[in-house]
Amino acid sequence: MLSDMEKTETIIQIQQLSKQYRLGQKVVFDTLRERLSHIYRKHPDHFSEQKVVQALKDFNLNINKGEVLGIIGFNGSGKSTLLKVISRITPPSTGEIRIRGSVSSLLDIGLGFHPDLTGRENIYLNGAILGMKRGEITTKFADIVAFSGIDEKFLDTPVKRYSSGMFVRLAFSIAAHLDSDLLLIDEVLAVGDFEFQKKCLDKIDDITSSKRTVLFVSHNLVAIERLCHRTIVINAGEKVFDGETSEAIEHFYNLHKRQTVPDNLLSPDIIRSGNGDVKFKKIQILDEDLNLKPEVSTGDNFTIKIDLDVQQKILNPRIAVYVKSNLGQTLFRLYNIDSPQCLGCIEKHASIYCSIKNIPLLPGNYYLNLWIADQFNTHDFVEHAYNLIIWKSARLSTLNTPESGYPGNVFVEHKWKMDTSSIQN
Amino acid sequence: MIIIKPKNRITFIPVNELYHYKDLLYFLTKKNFIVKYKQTLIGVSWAIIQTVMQMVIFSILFGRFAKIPSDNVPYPIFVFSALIPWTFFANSLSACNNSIINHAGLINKVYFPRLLIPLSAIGSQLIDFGLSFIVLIGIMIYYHFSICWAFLMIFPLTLLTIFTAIGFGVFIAALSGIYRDFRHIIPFFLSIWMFMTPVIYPPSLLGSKFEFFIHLNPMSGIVTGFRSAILNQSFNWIALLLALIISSLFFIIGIFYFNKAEDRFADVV
Repeated sequence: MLSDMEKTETIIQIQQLSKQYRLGQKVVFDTLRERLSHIYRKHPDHFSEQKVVQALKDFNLNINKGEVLGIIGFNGSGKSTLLKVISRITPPSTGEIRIRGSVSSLLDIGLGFHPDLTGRENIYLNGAILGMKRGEITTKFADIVAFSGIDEKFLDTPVKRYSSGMFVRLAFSIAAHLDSDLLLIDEVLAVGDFEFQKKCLDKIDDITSSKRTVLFVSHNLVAIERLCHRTIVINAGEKVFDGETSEAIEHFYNLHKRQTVPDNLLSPDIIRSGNGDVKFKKIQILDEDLNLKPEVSTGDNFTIKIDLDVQQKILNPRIAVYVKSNLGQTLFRLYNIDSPQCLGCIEKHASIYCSIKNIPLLPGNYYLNLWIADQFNTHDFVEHAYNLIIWKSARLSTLNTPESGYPGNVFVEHKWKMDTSSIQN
Repeated sequence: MIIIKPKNRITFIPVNELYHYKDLLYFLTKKNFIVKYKQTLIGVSWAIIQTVMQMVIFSILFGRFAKIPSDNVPYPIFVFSALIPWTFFANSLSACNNSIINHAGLINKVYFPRLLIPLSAIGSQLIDFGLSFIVLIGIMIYYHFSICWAFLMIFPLTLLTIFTAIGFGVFIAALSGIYRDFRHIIPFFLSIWMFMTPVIYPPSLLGSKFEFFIHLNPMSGIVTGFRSAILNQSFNWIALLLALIISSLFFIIGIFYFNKAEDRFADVV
């Protein structure tokens, strides 16, 4: 096996990798009492009572030296679990990974940053956490500071006095100066202002052209398209596509199209908060005749149908749909109080319809968060309730060539005109 | 070549890896220390004040009122010489107790030998420990005690204390990382432990029948050893040997349990 790896210059080889999580593990083993009561009951198979989630299933992957591999998939598809297993944060359940060379994982930036420590102290601490040696950090120190664009006089100030922009820039700069053979990057591009994001992308371009191997997980398909030649698509813990990036993105879109009926929002893996008097049960995208609408393009009219599970009747519900970009920024909110529309009283299972005209979003990947409340309490709040993909529209022909990505997220209908007759000499 | 498998625990202590990450140990220790005294008016002085206040209170309560015998030395120096190793040990264990949970953000996001977390928690207590010797010298001058050759025993005794603290600390860190109950149990457990250790009384107080049992607690041998070194008394070598054996046993258990628990931290914390 070793000689195989030498020949093909494989830097990472993943074989038959699986990872299971037991749902509710956090709750079950959080206290000693639970553990003791299990021993007391002599219940050997108490695990089988719990629901097991298969985060990764028989996963195989070979990556050659110098390759930049993109990883895309829906939320909960197993992308992050894959990175966590490769970066040795959590062990696999079965299977094996062989890696040649050093690995650095950037699942987050600014790890270990302590607000009370100065910029200088945090650079050393964070660098060491990422696996750098002290001497290495000292050598790169000036470069790190220069790249972050932070004024030298701030270096001996505790980072809690930094603006959030400065904090993020410093954190990214340290990560950008890692020299490992294999870099695992998870969404770290979602940081900073536009200027700095561009700088980060350029830096990653640099890294990828320097013969280093990168695994890049992102929701930002534009970034994936720009940086990666080869991309894999993960769905429900399995690799469903492996190949050319443009084909992978197409495959990902098709996968989304097939997933016409979204998952049950009442399922236990959904992250929610609120008192639960009313819960979101299902969300669907419908066309104007209230049939399921498989794809939405820029400028389309559509209706969001939300089914509710009502435990307690509520008066004058306030319902909002937050539309978020894949960088997590809220773009706008659809809110029945803003409209203004009073929905009266909800007593039994109800469906709410929200119609949208000319959706002004550019092609890309967006999220919907759902929120319901009355005057006093939040009843339910579901993050990432729906993954909304906006397609290229035939009506907006100029948008069909996204070489460098679309600037911004929003398309505003507008008209251009030129008047040559009124120019006065 | 890195090979990742389910349960890839082969080594007892990953020496090579710990050596590779030695700078991280240094920076984590430094962080723990800086953060502890940041934004306090008198800073590091707190490290000294804590032990000094304990000495004053114990001297009044047990020395003056309860009239506990102190082997014919002034009670304050008698109790302080034992408080130095005990405070270090107890503070190390309580720092370890919260260490895994306090570093959950790191455990979930990046790989490094997890042993560094409890080790750095103990490391930062070592600075307080060193500072308390400044006070000790002051007290020794006040009571006209001179430093003898026996004082050199402080160095091997310190190593034994650190070794004991690592064994128990690592065990406690793993336990409280997985079962949150231990966060509440340990402080309570430590206050009982102190009274089972001859800190405020000499082991002779219990009579020869119990002396053996009290030395099953490795901290007993250590604490009396420190006292002998500082006050230039004869050493109880059997107690020290027993402390070394029992500490080694717990060191093995502690590291072994930590290695076993470590894989679950990311899923649990």
